[in-house]
Amino acid sequence: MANKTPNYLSDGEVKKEGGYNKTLFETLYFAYKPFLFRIILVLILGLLGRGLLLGNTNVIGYWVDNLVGQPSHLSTWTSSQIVFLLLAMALMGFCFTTVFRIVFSRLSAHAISSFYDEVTLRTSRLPMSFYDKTPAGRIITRFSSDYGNIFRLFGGPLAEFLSIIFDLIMMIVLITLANPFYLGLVALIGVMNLLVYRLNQESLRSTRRALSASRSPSIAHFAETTQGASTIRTFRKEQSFADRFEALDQYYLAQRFDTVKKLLSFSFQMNSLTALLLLITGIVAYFMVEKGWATIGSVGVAFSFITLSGNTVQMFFEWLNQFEEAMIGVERLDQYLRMDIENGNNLPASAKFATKHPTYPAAFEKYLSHRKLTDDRSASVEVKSLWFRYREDLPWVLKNIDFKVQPGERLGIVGRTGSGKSSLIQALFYLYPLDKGRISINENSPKLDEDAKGVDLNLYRKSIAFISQEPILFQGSLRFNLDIAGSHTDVRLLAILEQVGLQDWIQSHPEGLDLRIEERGKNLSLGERQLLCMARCLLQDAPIVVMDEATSSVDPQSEEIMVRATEEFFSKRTQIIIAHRLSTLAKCDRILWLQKGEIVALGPTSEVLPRFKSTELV
Amino acid sequence: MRSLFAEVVFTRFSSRLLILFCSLIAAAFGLVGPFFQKEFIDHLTGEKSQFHYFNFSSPLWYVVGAFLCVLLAQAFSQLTNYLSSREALIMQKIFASRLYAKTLNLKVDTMSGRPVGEIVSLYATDIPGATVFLEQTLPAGSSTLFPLILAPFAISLLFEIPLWPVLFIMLFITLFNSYMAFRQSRFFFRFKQLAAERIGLVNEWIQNIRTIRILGWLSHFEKNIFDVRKVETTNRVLMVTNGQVMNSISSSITFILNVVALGSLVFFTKHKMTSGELLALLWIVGIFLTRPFRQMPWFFTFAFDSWTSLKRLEVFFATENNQTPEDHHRLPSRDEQDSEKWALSISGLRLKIGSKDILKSISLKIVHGEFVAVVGEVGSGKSLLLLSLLGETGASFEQYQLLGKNALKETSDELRSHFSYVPQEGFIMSASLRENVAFLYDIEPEIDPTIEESLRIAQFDLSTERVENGLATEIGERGVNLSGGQRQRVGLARVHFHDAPIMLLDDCLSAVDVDTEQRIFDDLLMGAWKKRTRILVTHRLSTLPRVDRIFFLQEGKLIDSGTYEELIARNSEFREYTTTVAKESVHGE
Repeated sequence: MANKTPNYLSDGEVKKEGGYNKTLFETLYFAYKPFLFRIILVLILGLLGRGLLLGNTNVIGYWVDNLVGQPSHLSTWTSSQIVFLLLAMALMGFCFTTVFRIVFSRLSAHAISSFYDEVTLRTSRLPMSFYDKTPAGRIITRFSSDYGNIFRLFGGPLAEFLSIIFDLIMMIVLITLANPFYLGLVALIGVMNLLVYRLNQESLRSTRRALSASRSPSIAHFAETTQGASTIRTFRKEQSFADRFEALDQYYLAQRFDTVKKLLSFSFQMNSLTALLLLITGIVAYFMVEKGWATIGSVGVAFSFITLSGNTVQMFFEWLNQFEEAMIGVERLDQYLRMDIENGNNLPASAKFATKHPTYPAAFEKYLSHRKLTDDRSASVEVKSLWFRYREDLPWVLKNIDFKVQPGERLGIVGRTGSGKSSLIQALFYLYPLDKGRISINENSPKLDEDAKGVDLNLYRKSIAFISQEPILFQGSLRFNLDIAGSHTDVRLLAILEQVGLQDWIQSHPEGLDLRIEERGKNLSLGERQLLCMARCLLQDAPIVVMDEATSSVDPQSEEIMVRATEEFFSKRTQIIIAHRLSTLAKCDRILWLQKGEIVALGPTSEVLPRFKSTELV
Repeated sequence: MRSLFAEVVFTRFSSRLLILFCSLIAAAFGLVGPFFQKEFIDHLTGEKSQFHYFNFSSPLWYVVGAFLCVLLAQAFSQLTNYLSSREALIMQKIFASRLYAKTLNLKVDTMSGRPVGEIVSLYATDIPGATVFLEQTLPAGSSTLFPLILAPFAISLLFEIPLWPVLFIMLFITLFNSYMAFRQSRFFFRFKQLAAERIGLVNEWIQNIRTIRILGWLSHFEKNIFDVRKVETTNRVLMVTNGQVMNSISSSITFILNVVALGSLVFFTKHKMTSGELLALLWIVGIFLTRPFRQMPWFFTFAFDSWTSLKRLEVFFATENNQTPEDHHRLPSRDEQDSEKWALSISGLRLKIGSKDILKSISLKIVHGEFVAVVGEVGSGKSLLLLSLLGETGASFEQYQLLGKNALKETSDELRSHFSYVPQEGFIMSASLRENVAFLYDIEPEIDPTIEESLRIAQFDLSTERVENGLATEIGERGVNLSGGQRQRVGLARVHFHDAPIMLLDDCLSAVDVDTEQRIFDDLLMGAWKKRTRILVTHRLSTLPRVDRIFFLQEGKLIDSGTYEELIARNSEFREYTTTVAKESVHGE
């Protein structure tokens, strides 16, 4: 591999070196805990099963001794009796191992799935700053390829790996039964294989890492091209993009080939070792029989076992290498499992892994699901000496903000780009920790740590409905997009759609509420999307409604409906409206003017708006 | 078109034969090894048995023979693996670049309705899948099938026992395994599908985590993911059950086969059994056949799976671009007399996608340096009109003149050279900001001043946009996530950087805030691009009074065109389109 790789070829993640975290094994214990008894039971069955199968070889050894007239444990048995004994052992062994393999890999699939769910529950609740710092693609990789890897290896391959370990254990037992002298040879096989493994371990590991890092750039580039093909063509940059793809793909394939070569060389070293040991065994056996130290039967048994164990030890190390990689995957998911979740949030009662994160008691969670912060149609909002920044290493974006919105009041917020308007919204939802000051609704602030007083964070958030500039819809049915919890009737949903002027639109779609919405709502127009978000907002029935540039990117009809909504449907609600188009703000009760994170003015619309207009739009 | 399978088999045919040859040699050495072992034991016991081909003075030579055979068998089998991996990778490279070229070549109206994930999975999973034939099936074919076919005959011959019991068991196992393998490949196919579905949801969940949190939908969203995950796990459980039955059969079958062979030996043999025979049988069945039996179920599974990958690729490669059929009733095309006057002039532009008429015989003319806006309701065909001008759809024209030349006679490359285009959702590639503006990879910082100027004029201020490393900041999927407005401005800067006479702007200001829009209008659209021909699709009515002319589209037809005042005065539909609110905002600011 070249020493200096261009930066676009790496996946940007630094993998740590050294041993695994201790928490990793605890996590696996959590995952397997519900099945512990069954797991132990089938492990015993599996060991016995392999023992019965491998024991065949010993019986044949005794049989050979019978045939050459040497005394053995089965001297009194006839050949046909021995055949039936072998058949019975083989069949029983087969049944035991089958039960072990099936039950074990099924339980593993469930255990790893529950691990996945638990990581999801925690990742959902990580602080927002984590999402700001980590590119989305990098997070998604952990849930796609890392999980895929673990899921695959902890199913069948782990059962296989355990079978191999059983084989090794049973071989040691059985070979000792045949003639303890051969144990030395088995030990020799083990040690030599271990040496070869150690010799290759580092290079195999690093080549695998390089391989997995080389994969995502070419895939990402391919995905980009699919999305931007028309732009690429209009700029006539097909060749440049094709060259880039060629380079990325070639780099990946080269890494693949490098990995294949390393693996083949590793396998061949192990193969040669096995062959060599066969030679040694043969020679040793020859002299042992000559000297009368061993029976022919036991030589046969040893021969079989040594060839077999050569194969088995080889497979053991080949799998071991793969499991090391799987453990890296477990470690990467475990890292998310162990991170601190955002202050004030709790894991749902369904979370089972005891990772010391705050968790809702089941009864409280149920109680919360029916509760609202207030039953009134509106609520007051108070912002008290608020200082806000996104991260500790970033500058303040809001400086000492103080204001109060009365229940039912309509407050407009103006200011140039970068004045802190959108940051104020982030703060309102407590999406980031507030360093200084606080925000409360009806005098209630969210409870952010265990000892503090206050209302539940999720309850607090639910009392604010939000419409942003960019309408966000999800893939799924229309019904799902409006009412994810399924708590409203179809009649109510249709009535709301009518309210936002989508009656004709929904009637033109025969699927009705089952209409399939694509990813990001891309099968709908911007206006339709925004109106659906408006409908969603209306269904939320929250006392406070916040709109951030909600009408700035929609077509005129939709805009009219939305402006009317603020006047009619939200009339008794507390409203906070951010807008650039000052006409939208004309009907506000008061205007808050922000500049560089500070309040310039706060007062009646008729007073502040003209002042803002005259200074800003010169 | 030659089938992809044929291509996999016949490209570089001689190397395919070489793979087969190596793997046959490996299998042959593998068979001879146990024979030496048998001879060795026979020598030790001093018994005489059948088939003495070699006579060595010392039995130790037989051990050496066995050693050499095992070593050579392994060497040849690794050589086979090496060759087949190399061939598979060469084939992957060929398929990947063909797939990439195809993706770049398919036009917008053909690609719509195909999720990006689906096409990416062709590259990420189907291409490696398609070459499994080379990597696994071809080399494993001889190392798996050859011993399996030879072994029963060898056993029967060596030990003078009837062929049928061993043959029967092996045949039964092979049939049963291929049935299980077929099931397995089905589970496997479904497994990939379900994983893709789940990842789609995970993607949405991570990308929109802020909104989901604000809506308080976290737990519902999680439930949604878990539901798909549960279906995935259920399929997985069925899959591992099936797979483990296969595996446990194949890892125990050698023992059972051995018992059957021994039984045949005890019950049917004509001569007295020797201990050497007993042990040799143990080796043939127990050691030589172990690997083939273990491989067999996977051999079939991968072969089935590879076949489905090949088929999927074949279908995609066969996709044709959408083409609107020519109108037979149209007038013979005439050459424009005054074509010099127009920057762009078209007549009879029609676009049909599937059975739907999207654009219905549109004719329009735009003079040099004119600034026109295209407006109309959603779905009226505005975006597809721009794309058709670019040759990005399968539209047909009666006549298309561009800068005084017949555009229908130009290659698509020449046609595109007249245009710059900004899509609605600005396209950002995973690269530095610098590379994104220049739209070229690996460029030197020498042209930075030009790039900075382009960004500045598109109102993308490096000091306030949270791009910490300036022009070197990595943006896109694998870097800083830009907002919709930022993406659009980068798109504008890119267009400005690439000079072209006609600008096609598809609602490229929808995501920027109103201040910024204002400034982009002043500095760029009415400023730096003052002399160029500009076609802007827009929803913002505040811009309409500032353009030279407006084209008003309705349901794929060009209803009217004129200045804002003209249209307001004479067209009731246009008046309806520009509602009260909109007018308020036009006049209010």
